[in-house]
Amino acid sequence: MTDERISRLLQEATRLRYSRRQVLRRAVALGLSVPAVTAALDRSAIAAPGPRFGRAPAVLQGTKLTILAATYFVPAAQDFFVQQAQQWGQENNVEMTLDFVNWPDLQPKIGAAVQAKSGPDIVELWDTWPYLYYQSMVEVNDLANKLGEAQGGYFDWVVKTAAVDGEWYSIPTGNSTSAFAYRISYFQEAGAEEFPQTWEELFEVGKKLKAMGKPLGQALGHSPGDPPSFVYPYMWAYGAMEVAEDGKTVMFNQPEFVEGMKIFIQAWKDAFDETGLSWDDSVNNSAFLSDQISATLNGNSIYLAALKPEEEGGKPEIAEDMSHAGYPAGPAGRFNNLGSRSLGIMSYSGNVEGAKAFLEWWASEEQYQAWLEVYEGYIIPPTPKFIELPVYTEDPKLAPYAEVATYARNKGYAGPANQNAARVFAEYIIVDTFARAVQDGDAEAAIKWGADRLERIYGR
Amino acid sequence: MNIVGENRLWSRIWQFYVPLALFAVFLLFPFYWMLVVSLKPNTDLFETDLNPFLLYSVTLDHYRYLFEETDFWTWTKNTMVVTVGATILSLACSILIGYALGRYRFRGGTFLGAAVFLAYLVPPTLLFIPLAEVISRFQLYNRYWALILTYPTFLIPFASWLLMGYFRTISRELEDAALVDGASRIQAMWQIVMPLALPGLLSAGIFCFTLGWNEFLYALVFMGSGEMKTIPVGTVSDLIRADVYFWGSLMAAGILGSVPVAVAYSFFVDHYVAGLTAGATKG
Repeated sequence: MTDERISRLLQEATRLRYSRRQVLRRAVALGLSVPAVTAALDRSAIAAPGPRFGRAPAVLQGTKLTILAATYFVPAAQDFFVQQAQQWGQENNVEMTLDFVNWPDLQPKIGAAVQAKSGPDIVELWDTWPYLYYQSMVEVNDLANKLGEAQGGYFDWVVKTAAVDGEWYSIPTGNSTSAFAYRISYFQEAGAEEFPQTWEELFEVGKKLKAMGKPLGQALGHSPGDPPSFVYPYMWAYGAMEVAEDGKTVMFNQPEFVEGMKIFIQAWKDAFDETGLSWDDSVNNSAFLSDQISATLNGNSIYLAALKPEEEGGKPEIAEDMSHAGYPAGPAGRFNNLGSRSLGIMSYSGNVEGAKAFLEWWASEEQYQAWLEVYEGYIIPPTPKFIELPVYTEDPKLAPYAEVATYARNKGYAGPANQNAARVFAEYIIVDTFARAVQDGDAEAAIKWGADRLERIYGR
Repeated sequence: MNIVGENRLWSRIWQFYVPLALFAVFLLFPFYWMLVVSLKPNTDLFETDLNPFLLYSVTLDHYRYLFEETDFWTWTKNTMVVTVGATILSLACSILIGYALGRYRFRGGTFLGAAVFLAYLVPPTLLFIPLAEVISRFQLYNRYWALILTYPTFLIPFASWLLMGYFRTISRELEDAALVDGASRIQAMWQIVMPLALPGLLSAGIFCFTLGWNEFLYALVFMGSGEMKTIPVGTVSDLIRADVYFWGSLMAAGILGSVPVAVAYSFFVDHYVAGLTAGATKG
């Protein structure tokens, strides 16, 4: 029965000229076994197979594996990952359990597991976290290097954020990144035919947009996604950074940055929705989709949500009228903050071999590419191998997301994305510097406050 | 013409009904908001031209999603098992602690009473890491016992403190009379003091039930894997996808999740108030 359904799907794919990605998405929607569909695809002329990684050794039979990860924005991609894991588990007789938690809840679970030396076998780590947990993780240099070499080498931002001083304790999986989602018609009405190229130009247009009742939207609350996506690149664009290359000398209180902050304080009043001080990662999405703001930095989740049919809460008219643009430049250049997430194996795991075998299978070109395709371009891959996939290029509105990876810096730049950078990130010091500045209107005092806090962390 | 009566009516309206109405609106508004959002179609949720406080069309899709696409009933069962278990265990311990500290006079008793209360002030965010090690050593991870045994760390101190105060309000002569009549200390406690302390027990029980029902951090860290999720953990892990919130279903889960607590309160509200205010006017 299942074979018949797969066969019908392949006929449909041939007739309608589906891409490999479209076939896999249809497979998920129809509840078909994705690996079975992948195998059928490989036998058909629709898509060429990637290199196959070997089946796990028989010694794993009857073992268990638990994976802990953050929830996915694209539900189909989360379902797809579950299907991949379960299929691998069935083929190798390994009982798989997958747990997905809300983003802010991932770290408490990992922290408790590390302390208790008990819990999931494989965990998802965000950028800077490998430095926090590597002593409790299994070194996977062989596997990470093998995968990296097979896929054209890892991007620099991946090595700096997922490796620990060049050693791999987890397999990079890429990450979502931000670009400006903006309303084409509102920008045109405000006199901008194209998205502004510098921050100051953007703020000028923003003044007109706010006067039109459609301000720029930016979260400055304690939330791990959108606030850092703005404050780190803006700080770099105005010549400041957390530390110098030595990882100790704080380079935050720079005259150029003070000037940049003064410009931002004024722009916050003139061009932004000032309630952004209390926003978390979700508010700019709903503000944009409810037509309250004209532009905001975000992953492509707003666009993908808008593209849905109207009865499912989509906003096709907004999807039509919106586009994306890369980061504006400042006096010091154009920057973006990007670090890779990764999957690592806990050293307390009783099934390290099983975990390695699963990661090797899942990160293989065939499986990983299929996962990226179902993810609809939300995740930027860690190697150049996949960056030309149609999922990143076929919709020109999504092209900026792949481009912003080319001028990305890690948290903690110009030092490594180590435990100090993780602490600065976790304590929202850069975000709070900006929030204090717009609240008090005093750029010097806010930056001095931030510099003092950074000194306490980096200067030890 | 009855001017005095009219004045009384107006003063009742201003001094009683108006403040009561304001309180009712203040307290019930979150439930009204949850109900409205849970019944709104997605198309209305982000439509700023519509009044957000009113329903223009009704859908049960969010409830359907909650029941069919998530394990809501399993979460409810888990929450019930854990909460009832932790409440019974905490009450049993708190009765003994409260009775001992409330009825006996012994050296260090006052200090112990204060220490029990101070234990309540230790935040779970400090305790969850060391407790994780305990859970791991006893191999309780992802079992009901993980929460049934850890919730009392914050339930027992406050419940003991509450009961200690309540036991002190019950006349000592009644117990002495029972002892003179030949009852043992346990019999006197069980047959004389406990029935009189019922309002206090109910207050402590409702307090434990509510805190256990809503607890998040321990439930996330010590259980929360596979199907072993409680309502607070399940809703945020399955109804928040990255930066997209399923507001309708989240509010539906909020409404349904608050029903058992509301029922518990409404059944025992009179006893609960009596328990909380006991000792307020006595030494």
